[in-house]
Amino acid sequence: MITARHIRFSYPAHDGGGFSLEVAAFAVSGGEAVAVVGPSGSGKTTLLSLLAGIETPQAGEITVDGVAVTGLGEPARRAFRLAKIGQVFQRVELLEYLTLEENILLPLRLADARVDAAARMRAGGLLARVGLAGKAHRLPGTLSQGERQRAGICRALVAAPPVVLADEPTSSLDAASAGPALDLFFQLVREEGATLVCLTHDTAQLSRFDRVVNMRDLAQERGGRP
Amino acid sequence: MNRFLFLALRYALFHRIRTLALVAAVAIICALPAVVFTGVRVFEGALSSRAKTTPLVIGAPGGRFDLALAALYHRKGRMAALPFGVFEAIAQSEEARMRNGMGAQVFPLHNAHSAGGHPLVGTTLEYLEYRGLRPAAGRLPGVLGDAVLGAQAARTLGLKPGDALLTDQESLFDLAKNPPMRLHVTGVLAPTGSADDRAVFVDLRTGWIVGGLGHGHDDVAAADPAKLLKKDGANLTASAAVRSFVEVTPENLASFHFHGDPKDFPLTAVIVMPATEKAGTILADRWNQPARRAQALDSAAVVAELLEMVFRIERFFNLGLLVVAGSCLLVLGLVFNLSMRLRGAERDTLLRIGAAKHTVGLLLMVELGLVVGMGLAIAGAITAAAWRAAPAVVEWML
Repeated sequence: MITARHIRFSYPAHDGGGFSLEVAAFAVSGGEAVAVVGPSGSGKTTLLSLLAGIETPQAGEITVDGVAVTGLGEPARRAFRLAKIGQVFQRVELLEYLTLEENILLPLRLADARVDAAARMRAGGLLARVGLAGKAHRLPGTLSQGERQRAGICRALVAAPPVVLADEPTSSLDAASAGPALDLFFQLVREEGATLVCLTHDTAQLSRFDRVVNMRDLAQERGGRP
Repeated sequence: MNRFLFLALRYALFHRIRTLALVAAVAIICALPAVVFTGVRVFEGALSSRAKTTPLVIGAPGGRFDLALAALYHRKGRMAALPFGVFEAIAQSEEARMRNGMGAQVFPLHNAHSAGGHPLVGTTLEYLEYRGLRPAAGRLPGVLGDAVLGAQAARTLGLKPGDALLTDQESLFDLAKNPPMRLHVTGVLAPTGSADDRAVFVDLRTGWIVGGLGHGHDDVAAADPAKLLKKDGANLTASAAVRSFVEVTPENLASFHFHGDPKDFPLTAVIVMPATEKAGTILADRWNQPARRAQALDSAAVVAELLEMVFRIERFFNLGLLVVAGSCLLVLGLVFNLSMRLRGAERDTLLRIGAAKHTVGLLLMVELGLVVGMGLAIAGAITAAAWRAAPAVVEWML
């Protein structure tokens, strides 16, 4: 499902130059849930950006769901991202001026896909599954952090992507809320049949994953950029 | 719906106060010069058209603008009166009489008084004919005490033919002043969109009676001898108990009379329609001589002078507005710039999800377009309303 080989990436000099990441080989099978761990600054987030096609490596090959991401131009990478990748961020940034439902449907709108009754029904279904059934038309400002995080998960899954990339999805939640939130996240990802790559610092949660990959095993060089 | 428009509309609705403030700023910046331009053009049109149909105005020496405004728009100015004898002299002059072989085109105007808050214009029927003033209801004044109302005056006062109208009391504390006179409304004029719509027209002599130059009272000779204080030949001195009439009726019409030499009776202005440009020049030159104690005005020239002042004010206004508009645009730019910075997290989210790098920029452009578009639409509506309302406002101003 995901393969990355001989990746070499460094940020341009004017954009945090000095940091570089090298990955000899990274592979995730379809439907697998992989945790990526490593200290801050080890390049976890950069790896996720490379897999999502947000950044392009200077060398190497990345293939996701049969698409050679490294060979795509900017517009094609955007289309790939919208079609193949669902992303859950460390700190969920919902657009404050859109309702929960509109936020969840945002990837479809950006992909110029039809936001029809079926799409709304899917968004409603996802919201119901994360316990936000009655809050589809609420604005993010009226929700708790946990509710926003759950809405972020719905947004990542609305386009039924084959791959979900999560960057410490429960880091903004307290310890009591993190466990149940991750349970829900896993349950949804599995129900959707998606492949999951999740960055985490929380060693207590690692047992949930099929496999744990340490950045030390991937990277040969690293600089000072987080 | 286009995704940019959707997001821009949602953003505008969410920040509705900010959006409304920006829209209002754009609308005001665009509407103000358009409204001023409209107002000035309509004002210019109204002033010029009236001036063109009133080529020569002769009045007492004094303020040219006061005289022009009084003769053209029935405005009460602080001017000395022009003796009626001047009117007679002009009417009998060769230059006035040779117009189309149709007799004098000279119209006396006396508008020193008011009725119901509207200017009371004493003149002749020929003036009404000249201005194209025809009754929409009733008839033109026939005898002393009759009045015909301009369309707007009738509407404001709620009067119709057959009703009565009191002239305005000019001094509450001077018992020597004439009491208000009760006028008979014989007709209402069709609207013309000019200053005549606001006026109350009476015969010139009725205007003089309102001013106290003429009056009617009981026959002193036939009155109770007790009311007769002194009899010296044909001259009789009556007591104040003799009844003075404040209304002209068929029964007392004959008792109305004037004291003094009519040549000295006051006029506000005389409007002259010279037969030719040459005749006008001769008349103007003749009545502009210092010995004549009068002044002749080329209405169009005076109005052009007045308009030049208005245009100058308009230019200053527009200059000020340009500065304000520039400042507003800078503020607008600043608001959008700050907005772009504040929306950094939103930009990152959109980019990570899959939006193009230019999406946020385009989004801001659409938002700007939305604000400017709505502002322009409102400015257009205000300007259209101004076009529609300007003639009535200008008429009211004049």
